[in-house]
Amino acid sequence: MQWDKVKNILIVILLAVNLFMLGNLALKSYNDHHRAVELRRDVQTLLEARGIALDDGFVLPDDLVLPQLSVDRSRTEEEQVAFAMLGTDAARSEDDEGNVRYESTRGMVTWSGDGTVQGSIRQDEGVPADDREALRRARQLFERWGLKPGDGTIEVVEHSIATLSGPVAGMAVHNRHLTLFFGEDGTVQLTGYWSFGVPYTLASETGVSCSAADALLAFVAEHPEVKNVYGMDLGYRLLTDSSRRLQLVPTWKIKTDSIDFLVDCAKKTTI
Amino acid sequence: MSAGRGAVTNTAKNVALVALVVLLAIQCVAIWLNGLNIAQLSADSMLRRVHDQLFGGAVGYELRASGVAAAEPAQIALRAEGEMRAVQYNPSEVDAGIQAATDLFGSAFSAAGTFHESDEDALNAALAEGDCAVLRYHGAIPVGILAGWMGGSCSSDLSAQSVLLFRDTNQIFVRTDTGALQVASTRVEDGVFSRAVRQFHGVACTFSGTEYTVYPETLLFEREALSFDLIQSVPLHLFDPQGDSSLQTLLSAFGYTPYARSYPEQNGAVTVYVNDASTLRVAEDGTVEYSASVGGTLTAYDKGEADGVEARGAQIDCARVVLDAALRAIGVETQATLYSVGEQDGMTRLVFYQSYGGVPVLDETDFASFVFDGGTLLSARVALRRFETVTPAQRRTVLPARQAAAGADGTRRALLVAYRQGDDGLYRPERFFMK
Repeated sequence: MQWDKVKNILIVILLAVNLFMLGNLALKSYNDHHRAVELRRDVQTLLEARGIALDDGFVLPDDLVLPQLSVDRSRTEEEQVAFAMLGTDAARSEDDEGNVRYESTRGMVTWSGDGTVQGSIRQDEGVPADDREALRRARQLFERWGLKPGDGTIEVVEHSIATLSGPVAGMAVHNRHLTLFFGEDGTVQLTGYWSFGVPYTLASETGVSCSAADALLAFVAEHPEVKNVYGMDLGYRLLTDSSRRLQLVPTWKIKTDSIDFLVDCAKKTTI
Repeated sequence: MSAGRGAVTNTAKNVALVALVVLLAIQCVAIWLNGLNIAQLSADSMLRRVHDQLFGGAVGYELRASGVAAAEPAQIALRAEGEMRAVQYNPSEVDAGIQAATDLFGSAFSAAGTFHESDEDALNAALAEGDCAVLRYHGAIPVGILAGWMGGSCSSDLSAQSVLLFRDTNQIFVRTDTGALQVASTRVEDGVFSRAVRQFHGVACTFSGTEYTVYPETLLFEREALSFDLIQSVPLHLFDPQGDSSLQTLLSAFGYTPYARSYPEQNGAVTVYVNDASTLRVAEDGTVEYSASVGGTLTAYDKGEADGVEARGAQIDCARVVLDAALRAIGVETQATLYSVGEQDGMTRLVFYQSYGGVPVLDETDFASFVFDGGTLLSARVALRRFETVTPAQRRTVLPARQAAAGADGTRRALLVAYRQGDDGLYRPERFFMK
C-alpha cells in the first residue's frame, strides 16, 4: 500500500517535470522560429532601405557550420587525366613553380599547383551543331578523361562552350569548374580550376559559422550599387594559402542582377 | 477480483513511471543538444559528424591528426627492377616525389611491427639488390609523426633521419638520430609500390654501399652538378611602416595586436610587447623571443585532449603555424623545416631550420626553437632572416656526393648540402659532413 502511494507521488512529480521541460522546449522552439522570421523581415527592411530588392522567391538560408577543408594536390591523378587526353606517350616537364606540362602530337595540358588547368587538345570534330550535341560531347570527353562529373553538372552556353562543375564533401565549390571551348578547327580548349581526391580537416579544427544574414548585410554594405538579390547558396571556395596549399574555405555565393558575388563566411568580406 | 484489478493498476503505474523517466531522459538530451554550439565542437567529435549528416553540413571528408608536414625530405629515391632514381634539394621535385611515395610509406609504417636493433651488415645486404624506397631528412623526425604525415600510423618512439623500405624482404629500416639502425618487418603492397614507381620522376643514382666510409644508404648521383645561387641576408625593416615587412602579421602570429602594451629596450633596438600572460621581444635584426607563464594563450591542445603522438603532432602543428605566419610577415620564400624533437623535464623542445630553395641555411644559432609544457607554448625564439640572391647573380657548384664520399674519414658519415655564411657576409652552398 505504501509503495502504491509512493508510485503515485513519483508519477505526479515526473509528469510535472516533463510538462515543464516540454513547455520550455516548445517555447524555445517557437522563439527560434519567431526570431528567424523576424530576422528575415529585418534584413528585408534594411535592404529595401538601401534600395535593394529581394527576389520574390528569395528565402534566407539557414545558418550552418562548415569545417575549413584542405586538399592535397594529386600529381598522380593529374597525370592520369593528361595521359587520357594526350595519350600515354605525352612528354612531361615541370618548372620550378611546380607547373607540370604534358605535351604530345594531340596537344598540351598544364596543371598548376593552385589547381589551375589549361589545355588544348586536338579532336576530330568541330563545333557542335546545337546545345544538345555540345552537352553530349562534353559529357563524353569529361568521362573519357576521367573527370567524372559525379553529382556535378555540365552546363552549355551557345553550343560551343560547356562548363563542368562538381561538389566536394557534399557541398558546392563556387569556383571549381572546367570550361571546354569547342574550336572550329577541331581543337578543344580546356581552362579552369580543379582539385582531386578526398578533402581533409584536422581533428582539432572547429567549424566556421556561416550566417546568411551577416553575409548578406556585409555584402550590401560593400556593394550599394546592386539593385536586386535573387538568392544565396552556401558552399566552398577553392584557393591556395600563403604556403601554396589548396584550401576549401566556406563561402556564400550571392546571386544578383549583375554578377554572382562570393562572400567569405569567416571574414564576412566580398571576394 | 479486486486483487486482479490491483495488479493491473500496479502494472499501469509501473509502465507510466518507466515511460515518464524515458521521456525525461529524452528531453534532457534535447535540451543539452539545443544548448550546444556546434561551431565549437572539434571535427573529430561524433556529435559533430551526426549533426552534419542530419542537418546538411559537409560530409565525406577525412580527419587527420596532423595536416601538413613540418619537414620535407632532402632526398627521396626509388629503385625498381635494378633502376634507381632520386630527387634532392629542389622543393618542386621533392614535393612531387613525396606525393608519389606518400601512400607507399604510409601503408608500410602502418603495417610495421616492432622495431629492433639491426646493424650495417644487415642493411648492406638489403641494399645490395631488390626494389626499395628511401627517404632522407636533415634532422630527426619522430617515426609516429612521420607516419601521420604520410597518412599512416606507427607506435614507435624512434626518431628517423633516414627511412629505407625494401619490397622483396618486406623490411623497413630506420637510421635514428644517433646513427643507430633499427629494423621492423612490414608489408609492401605490390600495387602501391608499382604506382609509386610509375609516378616518381628523378635522376639516376646508386647507393654508396660499402664502397666509401659514409653511410651505405648515401645516394651517389651520376654526373651530379648541383649548383645554387649565392645569397645574402638583407635588412627586414620590421618597424618601418613603409617597409615590406608586416609587424602586424608577426605580432598576430604570437597572438598579439599592434595595440598591445609595449616599451622600447636597448636604445630602441628591441621593442617589448606585453599582455597578461606573455611577453614578446621583437628586435630590429629579426630576432623574436616569446615567453609565457603556465597559463599562456598560445596552445597546441587543451589539457586531456591529446596524448602521445597526437600531442606531439599538435605541438609541431602549432609551432609550424606560428612559423608560417612569422615568415609570411617578412614576405619571404624560405621555408621552415622541423629538425629535432626533444623531451626534457616533461617539456617538449622543437627545433626548426630555415631553407632557401630547398637548401638548409646554417647559422650560428638555431633558426627557431619552441618549448611546450603540455599543450601550452612556454617560450619560442625565432631568428627571422630575409635572403635574396646577390646581384649580379652568382652560382656555385657543390662538390658532388661521390667525391665527398671518397674524401670521408669515417667519423662523420652523412653528407649534406647547405648554405653557410662566409667572411664577406655572403651565404655560399657547400658540401658538409655530419654525424
